[in-house]
Amino acid sequence: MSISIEVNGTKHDIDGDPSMPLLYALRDQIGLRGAKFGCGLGQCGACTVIVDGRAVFSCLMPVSALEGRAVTTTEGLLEDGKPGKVHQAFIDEQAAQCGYCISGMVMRAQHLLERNPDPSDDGILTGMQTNLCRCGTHAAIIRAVKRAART
Amino acid sequence: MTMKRLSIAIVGVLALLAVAAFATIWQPELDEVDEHSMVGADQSQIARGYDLAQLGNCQSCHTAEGSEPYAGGRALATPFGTIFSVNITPDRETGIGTWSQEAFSRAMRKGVDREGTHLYPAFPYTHFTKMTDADIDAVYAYLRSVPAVRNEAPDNSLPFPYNIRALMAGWNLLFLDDGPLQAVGGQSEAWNRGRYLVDGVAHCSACHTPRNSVGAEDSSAALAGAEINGWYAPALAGEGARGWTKPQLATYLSTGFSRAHGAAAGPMGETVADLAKVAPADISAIATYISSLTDERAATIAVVDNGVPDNLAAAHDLWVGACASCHEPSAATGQGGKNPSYGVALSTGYAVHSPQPLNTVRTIVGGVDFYRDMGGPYMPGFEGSLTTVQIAELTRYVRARFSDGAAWDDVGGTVQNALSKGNRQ
Amino acid sequence: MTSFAQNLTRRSLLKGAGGLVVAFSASRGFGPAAAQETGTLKSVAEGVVDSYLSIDADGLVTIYSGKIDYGTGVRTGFAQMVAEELSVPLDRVGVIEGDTALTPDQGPTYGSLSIEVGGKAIRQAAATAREAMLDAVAERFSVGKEKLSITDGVIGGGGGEEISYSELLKGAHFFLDVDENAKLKDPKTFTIVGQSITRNGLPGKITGAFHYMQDFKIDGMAHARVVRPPAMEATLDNVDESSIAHLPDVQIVRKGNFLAVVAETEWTAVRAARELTANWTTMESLPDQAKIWEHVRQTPIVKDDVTSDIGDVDAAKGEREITATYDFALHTHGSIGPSCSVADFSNGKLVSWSSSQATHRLRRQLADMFSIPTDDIRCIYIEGAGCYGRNGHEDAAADAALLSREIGRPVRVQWMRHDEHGWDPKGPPTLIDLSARIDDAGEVSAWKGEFFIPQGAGGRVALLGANLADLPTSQDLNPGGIANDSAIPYGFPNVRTTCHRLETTPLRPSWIRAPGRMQNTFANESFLDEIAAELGVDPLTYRRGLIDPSDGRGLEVLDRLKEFSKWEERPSPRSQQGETSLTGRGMAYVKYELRRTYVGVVADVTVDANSGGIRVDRFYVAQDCGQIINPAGVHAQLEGCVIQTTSRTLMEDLTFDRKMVTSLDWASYPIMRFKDVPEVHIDLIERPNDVPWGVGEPAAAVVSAAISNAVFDAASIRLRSVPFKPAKVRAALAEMRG
Repeated sequence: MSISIEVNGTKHDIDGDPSMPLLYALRDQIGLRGAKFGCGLGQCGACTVIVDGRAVFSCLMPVSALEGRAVTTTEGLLEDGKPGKVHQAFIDEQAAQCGYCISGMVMRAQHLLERNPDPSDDGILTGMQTNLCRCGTHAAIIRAVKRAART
Repeated sequence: MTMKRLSIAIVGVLALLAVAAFATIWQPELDEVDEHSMVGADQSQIARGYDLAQLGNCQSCHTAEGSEPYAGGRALATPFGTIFSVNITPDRETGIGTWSQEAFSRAMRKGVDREGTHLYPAFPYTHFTKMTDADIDAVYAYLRSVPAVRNEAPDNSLPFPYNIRALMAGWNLLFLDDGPLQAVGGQSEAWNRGRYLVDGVAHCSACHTPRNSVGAEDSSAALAGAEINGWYAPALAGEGARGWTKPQLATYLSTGFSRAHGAAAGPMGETVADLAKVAPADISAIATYISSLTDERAATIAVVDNGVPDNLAAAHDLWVGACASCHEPSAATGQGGKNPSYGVALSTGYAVHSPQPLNTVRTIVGGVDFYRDMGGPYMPGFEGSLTTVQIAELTRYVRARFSDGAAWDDVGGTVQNALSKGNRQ
Repeated sequence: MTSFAQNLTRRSLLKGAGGLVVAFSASRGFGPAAAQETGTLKSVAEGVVDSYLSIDADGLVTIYSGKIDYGTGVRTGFAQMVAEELSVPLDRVGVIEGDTALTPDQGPTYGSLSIEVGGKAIRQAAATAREAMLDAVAERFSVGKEKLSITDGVIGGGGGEEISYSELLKGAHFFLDVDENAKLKDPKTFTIVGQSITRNGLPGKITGAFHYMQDFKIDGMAHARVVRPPAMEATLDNVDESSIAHLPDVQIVRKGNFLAVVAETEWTAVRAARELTANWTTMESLPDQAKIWEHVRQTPIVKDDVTSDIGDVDAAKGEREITATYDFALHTHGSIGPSCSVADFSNGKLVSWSSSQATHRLRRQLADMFSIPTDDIRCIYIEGAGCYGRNGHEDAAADAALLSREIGRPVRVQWMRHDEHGWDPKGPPTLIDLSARIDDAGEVSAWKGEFFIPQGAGGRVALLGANLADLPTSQDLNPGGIANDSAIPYGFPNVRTTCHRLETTPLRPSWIRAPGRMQNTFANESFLDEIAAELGVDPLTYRRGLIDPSDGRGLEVLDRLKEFSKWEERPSPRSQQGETSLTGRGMAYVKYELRRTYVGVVADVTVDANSGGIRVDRFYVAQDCGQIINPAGVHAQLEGCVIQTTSRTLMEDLTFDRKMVTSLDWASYPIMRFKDVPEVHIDLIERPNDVPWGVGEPAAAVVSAAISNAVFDAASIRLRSVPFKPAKVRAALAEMRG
C-alpha cells in the first residue's frame, strides 16, 4: 500500500504500514531528519511539524491521515538552502545547547508567528509552552522568537 | 405540552410569584465598606477561605481565559443565553471591593448582590446557602486578599423574558432552600462533612444533576448525570452510577486520575486541578460521601476488548498510529514497562460506555491538558492532526471495540460541534 | 563560521602517505568503511603531541579530544584554544571527539573538567607543537627564534622568508612528547580565546542538518527495540511469538532476561516491542517510596569518609544548638532524545557508535561483556541529545552490540521514552543532617555535617544489557564524586563533615550534573542561611566574614554579586504579613570542590501563600571561572545551570513502586516549561591570566539553596526537601500558622 503525501511542496509516495506515524516517514523514508523522536506520546514537541497550517506532533500522526494534506518541516523553512527567518533568529541568539528539541521549537515558533506576527511576551510563552527543553535554553529561545518577530 | 410552552407557562408563574413575593423578599441595597476593612485579617481564616474557594472551583468560572484570576468575564453558555461571570476581586469600581461581609453572605445565601439586584443561579447560591457562616466569612476574607483587578465583565446576552432579574425572586421561592445544611444522624462525621461539602461549596450537583425547564436542578434525579457545556457529567448516584471505592475516588479527586477509572477531563479536569490544592481530609470526606452513593462493590470494571471492528479497518490504522502507544490494552493494562504512566485501556473510563459520544469526542479533539505543566494525566488533542471524518471514525472504533454499548448516533455532528467549540468551552 | 562548522563535521579519516591525514568527505560522517578497523589507528597515548593534534598537508588542524561535547560547547572551546596557540584561523581547526581508535583516553566527560583538564592538555600539546616548529624554522632560516612570527599558520623569519606549518610538516606526525613547560601565549595577545564564538554545530542543529547519534545510519542496518521487564528484578518466563505474527520480518532476540525485537523498519520494531506478549515473574526489590528517608537512614553504612575535620566539634563551647535535616529526591537525567546506539559486530570485531561520555571506558566494559580484547573494539562518539551525566547511552551501546552479535548484522537500537525514564541510571536519594553550636558570644563554635550517600565514585556504571543477559559487567555502585562539597568554605573553629557511605541505594545510581555537589551545597548553604537568620545577620555579609580573608577571589565574587544584584543588607525573613503574594530573595555561594570555580547567586522568588506555588522570578549569577574561553558558551551554560536546576528543585521527583520506576514519561515526571522560566542575569569576572575552570556544573550547585533561602525570606518557612512542590509548601505554611 502506498500513500501519497506532500512534504515541503514535494510529493512522496510512502510505502508500507499506513499506521506509521509521519515522523518515521520523514526520517526513514524521505530522509528529512529535522523532526526528532522524543517521546512518541505527544508530550515533548521534539517531532513538531506543520500540517495544513497547524503545528502537530508528527509522532502521533499516522500517514494514512495525511492523504491530500500539506506537511512543512524545518527543512521546508530554508530559503534557497540558507537558514530561513526563524532559523536565522535562533542562530543569531545561539538558541541551542544540545539542540535536540530545537527543530520542534523552530516549527512551534514558525506556527506561532504565522498566527500572530507580533506576539506579546506572554503570547510567546503560551505559544511555546507545548515544547520541552532539558538543557535550559528557554531564555535564548524566547529571545530568538522575539527576534524573529521583529525581522 | 411542548417544553417551550411549558417553559413560558412556568415563566408566567414565576412572574406572578415574584409580584406576590415582592413585599416579603425585597432586598435592600447594603452600605459600602471602606477600602481597608479587612486589613489584619487572620491568615488562617484566609487560608481556610482559599481551601473553600478551591473546593468551590470559584476561579474557574470567575476567570476569563488568559486573564487575571477572579476578574470575571468568562462566558457561561446556558440554555437561556450567555451569562458572563462577574469580577469578584476587591476592585472597588468593577469588583466586590465595596461589599461588606454581610453583603457577601447575602449573595451566597440568597443570590442577591450588594445593591439588592437578583443574581442568576448560574452562580450556584442554591448550594452556597448551605455553608456555615464561618465558611462563608472565610471565603469573603480570602477574596478580599486577592489582588484587585479592574475589569468590567461584559453584559449578559439573555433574551426576554430571562433578562428580567426580578423573576428570580419567584424562582427563589420555588427552588431556593436557604440556610445551612443540617447533619444527618447515624452517619459518620466524615460522611456528614462530605455531604456538607458536596451539597454546599463544591456544588457537585450543579453539573451532575439534570435541570428542569427553568434551569433549576431536578431534585428527583439528584446526581443522576447531566449534559453540561458539551460534556456529559456522569451519574454519581443511583442506577447509572459506576461504583467507586473511597480510595479510588480520593485519588481521582486529588490527582485527576484513577488507574481503575481513568483521568478527569473537560470541566472535571478544571475542577480537579483546584481540588489538588485542598486539604486531604476534605477530599477524603467527599470521597466517603460520594462513594457511599455508589455501589462500591462494582468498583472494578472489567476490561472490554471486542477486537478490531470488521468495518473500521481504516480507523484501526489511525488507532495504531495515534492512540495505541498509550491505550492499546496490552500495553496499558500489562504490568508496567511498556506503557506511559497514565495510559489506560479505554474500557476503564466512563467515556466509551456513556450513552452519548460527547466525552469521547471532546477528549479526542481537545485532549486532557490541565495537568500538562505540573504533571498528571495528559493526552494531546488531535484537533489539528486528524480531520473531522477521521475523528468520527476513531470515535466509532473505540465505541465498538472497547464497550458493549450500541453504536452512537450522530457521531459526525458531535465531532463538528466539538471542533467548533474549542477545548475550554 | 560556516566553513568552520563544515570542517568539523564533514571529515572522515583516510590513511595517507606520511601518516594520518584528515580529508573531507561528503556528509556521511564516519562511514563504515573508515570504521571497520578497531584497535588504534594513530597515537592515543597521553602525553604525546600526536595524540592530541595533527596538521595535514592542506594546513588543516585536527584536535583529537577524549573529552566530548554534548551540547556544552567545549568542542568550540578546544578549537579556540588551539587556534589561538597555533595562530591559525578558527575555521582551519577541526575536532574529533571520543573515538577510541583516534583520541586519547582523557577520562570520562564529567565533573566540569573538559576545558580545565582536557583543554589544558590539548593546549599544552599545541604549544609544544608550535615551539617545536619554531625551533625547526629558526634553524632552517638561521635566525633567532625570537625573530620569528606566526600569521595564519605561516611562520615568517622577519626578512621576507616564510614557511607554512603544512609545508614544514608535509603531513607528518610530530613525534613529540608534550612539554609541560612549553610556553603558552601571553593572554594579552589573545585574539580568539575570550571572544564570543557561535558554538560549533549550532546552525545545523537549528536548520535540521546536524547529524545526531539518533540520525546515524549505516548500510545494512536493522532496527531494534528492547523490551524491558515490568520490574527491576524479574525473570522472563516465556515469549508468545504469535503475538506479533502479523508484523513482517521481525526477529525476537532473547538472551536470559534480555529481550528485544529486530525489524527491517523502525516503525515495525516500535510496534513489535509494543505488541509482543511476554510473561515475566517479577520481584518487589525496591523500598516503599513513602518511607524512602527511613530506608536511607537504615541502610547499612560500609564506611565513613571524613571530608573535613578541624578542631574538635564535640568539645566546642556553647549551649545553643541548631539542627536540620535535608533531603534531595531521586532524579532522572531526562534527555529529550532517548538513548540510541548503532553497533556492527562482525568477524569477532565490534564497532560501536554511541553518545557515550566515556568511550574508552565503554570499550573496556564491552570487552568484559563479550570477553574479547579491547583491541577488537572501537567505540566512536557521536553527539546525541544532551545527557547531563551518565544516562542510558552506554546501556544502549551494550544493547546494540549484543543484538548485532546475535543476529550477525549492524543494528540500531533506539530506546523509547519509557525505556529512558524507566531504566537510565538515577541520581541517588541524598539525606543530610547538619548541626551547629552557637557560643555565648553568638558565634558559631562548631559545624557538623553527616551525609548519607551511596558508596562508590565515578567509575563504570554496570551495563544494563549485560546484567539482563547474564554477561559479565561490574556490579559496583557508581554515583559519581558525590562526597564533594560536603566540606564547607567557611572558617568555623570546629568543623567535621562525614559522608556515611551506604551499602546500597534504590535503583542504579550514576552522576547527573553536579552530582553530590548539588545536594550537599543545597544543605550546607541552606543551613548557613538558617544560622544567619538565627543570629539575625545579613546572610551575604555573614558569608563574607566567614571566608578565608586571603581568598580574594571568593570575596570578589560576593562583592560583585552584592553590587550587581543590588543586594540590600538585612537579616531574613522580610517582615510582611497579610499578603498572599510573598516576595523574597535569597543567596548561596560555592567554591566548587573547595578548589575551583567560584559562584555566588541571588534568587528572587514569589510565593503564593495560599496555593504554595513558588515562582522563581530571576536569578543573578556572579562567577569567577578563571580564564574565559568563549563568553557566549559560558553564558549558555549558566542559563542552563539555573533553569535546569530550578526545574529539578521545584518539580522533579522520580516515583517508583516496589517493583519499578513509575514515572515513565513527562506527564509523570514533569520538567519546567516556558512560563515558569526565570530571568537569568550574569556577571562574569574576567581573569584572562588565570587557568580556565569548568562552568557546566558549579552554578547548578547553588540554585536549590538560593531558592530555599529566598522562600524563607518571603514566607518564613524552611524548605529542606527537594523538590519544593506546592503541597510541601502548603504544609509548611500551615505548620507555621499553627
